[in-house]
Amino acid sequence: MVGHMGPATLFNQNIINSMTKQLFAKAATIVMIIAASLLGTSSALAQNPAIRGTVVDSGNQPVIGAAVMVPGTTNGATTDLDGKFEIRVAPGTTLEISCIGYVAKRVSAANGMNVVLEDDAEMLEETVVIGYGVQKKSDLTGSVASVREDDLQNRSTSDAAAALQGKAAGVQVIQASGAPGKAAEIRVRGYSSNSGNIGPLLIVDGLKVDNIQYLDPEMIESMEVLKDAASAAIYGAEAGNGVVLITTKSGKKGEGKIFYNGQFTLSSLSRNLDIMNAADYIAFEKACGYLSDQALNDAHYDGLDVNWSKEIFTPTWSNRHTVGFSGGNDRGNLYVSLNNVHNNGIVRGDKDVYDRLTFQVNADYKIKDWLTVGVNNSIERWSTKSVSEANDNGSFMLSAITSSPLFPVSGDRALLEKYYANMIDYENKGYTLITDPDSGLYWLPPRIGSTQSGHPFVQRDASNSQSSGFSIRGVAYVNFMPFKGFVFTSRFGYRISQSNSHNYSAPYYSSNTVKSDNYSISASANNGWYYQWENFINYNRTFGKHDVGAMAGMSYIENNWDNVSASASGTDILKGYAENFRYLDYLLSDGVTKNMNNAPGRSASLSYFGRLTYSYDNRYSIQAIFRADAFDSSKLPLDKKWGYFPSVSAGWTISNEPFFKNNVDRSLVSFLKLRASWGVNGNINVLNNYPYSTSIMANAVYYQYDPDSPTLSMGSIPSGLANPDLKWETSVQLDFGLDARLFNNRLTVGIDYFNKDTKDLLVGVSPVKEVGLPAFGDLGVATNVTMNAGSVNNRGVELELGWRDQIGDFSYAINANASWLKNMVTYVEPTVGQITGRVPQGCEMGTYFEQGHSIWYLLGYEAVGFDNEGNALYRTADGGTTTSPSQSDRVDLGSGIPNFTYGLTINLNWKNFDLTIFGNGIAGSKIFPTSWRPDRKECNTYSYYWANSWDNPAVGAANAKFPAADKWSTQAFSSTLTLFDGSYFKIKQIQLGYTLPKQLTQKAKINNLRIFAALDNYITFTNYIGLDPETATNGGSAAGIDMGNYPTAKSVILGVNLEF
Amino acid sequence: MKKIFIALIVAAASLMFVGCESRLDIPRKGVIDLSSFYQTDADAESALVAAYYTTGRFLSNTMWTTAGWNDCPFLSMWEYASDEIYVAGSDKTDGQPGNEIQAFRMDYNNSLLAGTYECYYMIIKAANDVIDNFADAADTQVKKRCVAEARVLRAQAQLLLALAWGTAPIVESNLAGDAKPENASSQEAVLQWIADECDKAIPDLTSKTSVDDKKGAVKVTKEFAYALKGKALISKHDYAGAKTALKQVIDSKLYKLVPGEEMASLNHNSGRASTEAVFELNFQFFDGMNAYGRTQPNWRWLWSWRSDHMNSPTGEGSELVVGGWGWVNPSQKFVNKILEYDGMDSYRRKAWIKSYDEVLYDMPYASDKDGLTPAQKKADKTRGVMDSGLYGHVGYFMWKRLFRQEDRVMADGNVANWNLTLMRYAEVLLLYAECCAQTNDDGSGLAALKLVNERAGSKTPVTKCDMETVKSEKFLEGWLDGTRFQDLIRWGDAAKELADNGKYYPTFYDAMSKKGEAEHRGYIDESDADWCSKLYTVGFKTGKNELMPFPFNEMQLNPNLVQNPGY
Repeated sequence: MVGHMGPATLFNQNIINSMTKQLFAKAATIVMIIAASLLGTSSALAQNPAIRGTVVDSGNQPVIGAAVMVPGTTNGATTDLDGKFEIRVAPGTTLEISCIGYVAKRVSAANGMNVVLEDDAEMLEETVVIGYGVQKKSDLTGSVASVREDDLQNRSTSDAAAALQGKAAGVQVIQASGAPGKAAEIRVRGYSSNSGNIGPLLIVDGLKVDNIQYLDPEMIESMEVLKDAASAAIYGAEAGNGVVLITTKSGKKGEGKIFYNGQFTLSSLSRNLDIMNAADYIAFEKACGYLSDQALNDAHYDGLDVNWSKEIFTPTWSNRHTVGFSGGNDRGNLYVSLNNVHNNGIVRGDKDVYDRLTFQVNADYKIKDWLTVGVNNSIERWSTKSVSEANDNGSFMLSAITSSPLFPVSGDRALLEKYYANMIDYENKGYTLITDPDSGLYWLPPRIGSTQSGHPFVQRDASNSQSSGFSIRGVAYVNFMPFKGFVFTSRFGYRISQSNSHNYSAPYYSSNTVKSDNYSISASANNGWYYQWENFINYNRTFGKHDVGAMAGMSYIENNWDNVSASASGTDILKGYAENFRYLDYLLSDGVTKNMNNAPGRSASLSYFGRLTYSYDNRYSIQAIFRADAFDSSKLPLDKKWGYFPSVSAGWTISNEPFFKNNVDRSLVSFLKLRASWGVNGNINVLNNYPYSTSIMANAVYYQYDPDSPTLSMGSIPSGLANPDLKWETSVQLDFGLDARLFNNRLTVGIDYFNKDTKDLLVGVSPVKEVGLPAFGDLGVATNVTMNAGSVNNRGVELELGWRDQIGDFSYAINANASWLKNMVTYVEPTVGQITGRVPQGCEMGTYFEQGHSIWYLLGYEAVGFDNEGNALYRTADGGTTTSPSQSDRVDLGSGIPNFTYGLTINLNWKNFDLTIFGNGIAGSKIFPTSWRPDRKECNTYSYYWANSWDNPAVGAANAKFPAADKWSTQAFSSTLTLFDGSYFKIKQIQLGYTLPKQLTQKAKINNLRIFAALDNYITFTNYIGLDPETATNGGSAAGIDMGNYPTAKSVILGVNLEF
Repeated sequence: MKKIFIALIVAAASLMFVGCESRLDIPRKGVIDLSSFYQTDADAESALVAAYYTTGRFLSNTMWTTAGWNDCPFLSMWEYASDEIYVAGSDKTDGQPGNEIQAFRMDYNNSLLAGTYECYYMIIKAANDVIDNFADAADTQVKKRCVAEARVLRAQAQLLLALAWGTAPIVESNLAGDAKPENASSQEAVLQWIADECDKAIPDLTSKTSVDDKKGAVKVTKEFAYALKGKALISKHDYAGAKTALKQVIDSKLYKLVPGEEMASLNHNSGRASTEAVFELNFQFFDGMNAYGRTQPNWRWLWSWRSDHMNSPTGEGSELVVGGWGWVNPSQKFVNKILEYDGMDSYRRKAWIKSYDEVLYDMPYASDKDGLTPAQKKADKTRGVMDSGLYGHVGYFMWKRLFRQEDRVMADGNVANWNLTLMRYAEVLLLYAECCAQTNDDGSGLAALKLVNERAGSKTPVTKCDMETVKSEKFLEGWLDGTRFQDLIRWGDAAKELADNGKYYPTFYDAMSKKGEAEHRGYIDESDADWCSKLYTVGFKTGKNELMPFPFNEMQLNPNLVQNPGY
């Protein structure tokens, strides 16, 4: 029955063909008209005879929309619906025929010519990296997202993770901070655990790395994300949160290249910080009874209106340079590049800076026909300074939001002496008054009012800290290829890292709550060395219609660290306090409390893994993966150390079935495949520090038996209450997918559905208090028992669409991706109930982890209106309303995790111009900005609240969205009244480039010279009231709580790409 | 050539099975294997030290517990539930959990009660680490003594639990993570169990070597065990039993009240391990002290004057440390009693509280260096209460447990160099006198009372040993020692004495700063003193407030736990 009505009906060749032809014809016409009008078609060309011809593909089907050009000129034509074209050139002129999906071809012009274009095999045979091997994209049975070099080129971010944002469905990139040097986090297919460690496993050229911040996107050839469990299973116990595989660039055969890419970036605040101005602030504080004209008079208020946003943020220049060399021949390839990043953040001054120098050397050489050796090395030097953020108590960013606008930011000595007697008083006692390093003026606290975290610039300048480091990461490998299809690889990977940090602060005074009585100084030196040794065999052969592949290998990984830190604090600690004394060497020998820390550590793991693939006739593929992992005894007891992670996946390429080929025009549907996979992965990040065992912490505590002497008698304590039955968290995931290429490969479609169950989450279960587990948080005693006591389900749909086409010398590509995610905590051990994530100070709304809710959902009050006095009314648990709800009235108000994320990239090329527009967005998330505390009512806050207050004369009670000023309460700021839609769409980049004509540049021996200008983060669509909905959406247990996060800046970028 | 390949393949295959597995065994650092510990005398001593540490830490502060960082479980909860003080702070919004307890409007959600409950059981756990591992295998005198000391530390914690919660479970040995213990059968049974535990311990305990032996004052001794037994038995109204036990302490002649002139040093650095201390937890600052293990952390802020509402006496030689939250202020009832009974000039009054005039004129101020006359001092604007006033204050300032310069070892003031006294000889004498008054005094009760009364320099000499006299002396002598609530319950006076708790929170102002008068004049403003009773039903409720509620979280987790009546 199905066969009978089947493909012929569904894919009626003629109908669809004519539809697509009409579509192309229209598009082509429009573009040609535009092109013609821009160029002002030369009439001189009309003198040549018209050459007519046809372009067909290898199946003798017409190729529509192919460009027929005279190389190096603007003379060209486009094929029509029947593949026909007409161009006025002299016979014998060289023509270049090109079309997307086909290999371009140069032919000699002749009337009546028939050009046959071959399929672009490279495009169809694109390979992807899958872990210990590569696979043709068309043969994939799992779900692997791939991001290519083109998408990573000329991005303004210097962080490889950030460059993934919006580029692959199912991969969410969270930029929790816009501060320089803050790495973006990656989440693959949702949020699987209550643990904070739910980032994917990161592998660069086969080396497991702890971050990819050192990698400049410019150095990356491709990034593959193994999304489904079946693909990721090759990394077993560490793959439960997905795997990101990164391949750095290598030299290419052909003449060597010298290249330089440069960017100069001017960054500034992307959105206005919308906090109350002086007039609004005074009106509001009067309305709530805090301020009076008398008080303003007494404080000598002079009408000042400080715009803190202008004080704090300032446009800054950053730059980035890459210089490199690459080349190769039949036997070897070499790629060398040097990348320098200087990123100065938008906070005034140089306290938020990130500098990085990376040197990459990739080389391989075929010593013998059966032996290749190679190395990939990355040497990084970095240093960073930062201001505090994302903290509800002591954050630079939060103090910017909450500072009173009425009083000067800084002032001279005269002003200080006039109004700030307490500061003078403390200065006389030896405290430093912190001054603006630029102007020498004193930072002044408000004379009335307050800020939630002190003066922003006091926050910035009170201490001096810097950290920097040096790392080498690399692999060296040998490939033996003793016979056809067989490759044995022995690969040694290594990471050597060294970092230092220094911190110094002196006693200072700003206000009674923002001061320090002590000097403190600290320094740390961290050393780490890591190595992995992997040996694996790949064997791939084709026997007739049977493609067989096998891989087997082992891996041993060891990580070592040896960190030393020391600190001291007190009222008098150093022999001198001039700048050249601020080192631990100059500590006073007596009477100074010193802390020192050092304990070298090591971790190790051993794994065996294998993969079998079989496909028949390019139609049926099946793949099975198995991995066994053992970790060291700090994670699980040695007798339970092995974990086993199997997976299977299968694919059916329908488009290669005879019935399909025979019935469906391949210019309509050239590729169609269905995939299904199942697999098990683990998560080892959550098991640390011997959670399964109780030991005795030797001499951890003391008692003093002699009242005349502080001599200590030392005591030993148990390290907690152990759970010897611990096992690791595992995820079981099902995936169904469809891949298709349509319309002569112009349109690519990928759809995936996944369902991922993560079980045996590690949950800290508190026993009843009578058990008496001591609250020795400071001593490292576990105050709860770690149990496998939770489950989370993530499921979703991912869609990737790509369209690319070329019409004459105009080519364009549109790539879009979207993913829908549903996340649910399906089980939590009943005695645990609710796990608290983050409840900001002075609030009753926070994030919680609880069965039946989304992970880290927001629990707060549901506001339903106002009473006659301007109090907010809240829904009670029994369905009534009240003005004073109790905590049991709180309900699930959503979550900071979006359920829809999407990205869109548009590339346009016309002649020497190129234009890229890239945007991404999220929807369905909530943000709770914290900017108010019941005990700090005199702080400033977002304008929104007062602008919508019940008693604001400009609003009127009927339109109020917020209670009367004197009725603002903890509950109001813990309810739907202060919860905002976190959805946004950002145009992340608009980039316009121009490549100088080759004829011109080649005179200067320049192969390629491109200049470009870009606008980054210039347009954001959102209803959020805070600075940046993007950074407010962070990925941890504080998801959706904006405690003053550093916003992403908008930037103007000028750049150049140069190649010799 | 083929052979090379084969050789390579073999090499390759062998590489895949190199023995790395042994590298996976990584011993934990800084720990001892559980199975090899708890064996020797030294291990027993080490475990006992941990029990002392835990007792000291969690009777002194609630840090890292539900109650937050600010309270002292040995004192705070017990003081809040009394008529001795006002739970004050900056204003009426401050210190709500404490105010809830004071006004007897607390419920099972009170975080301070939950934290205190937690603290007591952590001490019991640490003691059980000693008892569980050594009691059955106490083959040496050292082990026997360690078990005995741990037994008494555990009994002390169980006593506080019994007095607060009645039937809080007895935990005789360490519980498993999934344990759901049941209530004790009755409060009396727990009190008897405590007395029996003391009896079990006494034979293996040591005594002080002399009156001046300081080391014997900071560890569990026979005499402390007797005192504790006496306190447990008197709490169940077994006066004869209690008297016998307490008499052992008196008859040991190892304790002596410090002279009246030195009373102000009690509970302070200079009074460390005095002749009067029966047991105090010893804490001395040392270089490198773990800031979290610091002995007397944030509650020193609570138990200090609200100095940001005052121009405090900070002149040369001042005892005061600036920086305090002023949570513990003498109640009018206590002030009246001590002035009327002891008189202004008694040692006890001077050591326990200071009048506003003393604060203004007798304490050193910076302006004193100009050699001010009394009249100039009266008009000096650099001293005295600011216009914000002192909330919950009647013009007398707590001095007994004020954090003083002598107790201070670090500039930030968080580490206090003072001990926590769990039992003072004065309390032993008063408990003994109470037993005599309740039975039939043979004269020894009166003698005990006289010791306390005369040392205090009270203007009211004691002439007989009756309950009225005992109550007066205990109220005054035991002020801020955390026993008032226990005493009132035992005496059956709680309903009467605590009926007005929560009804009166006056504010103390100085007319100079508040009204612009030329001279200092302190006065009490009662305009909002009844705010709490206007909002809540306050005061002690018979049949309910004799016991505290079990914390909500415990009730949630443990179906076997039965809530106290009325909650």
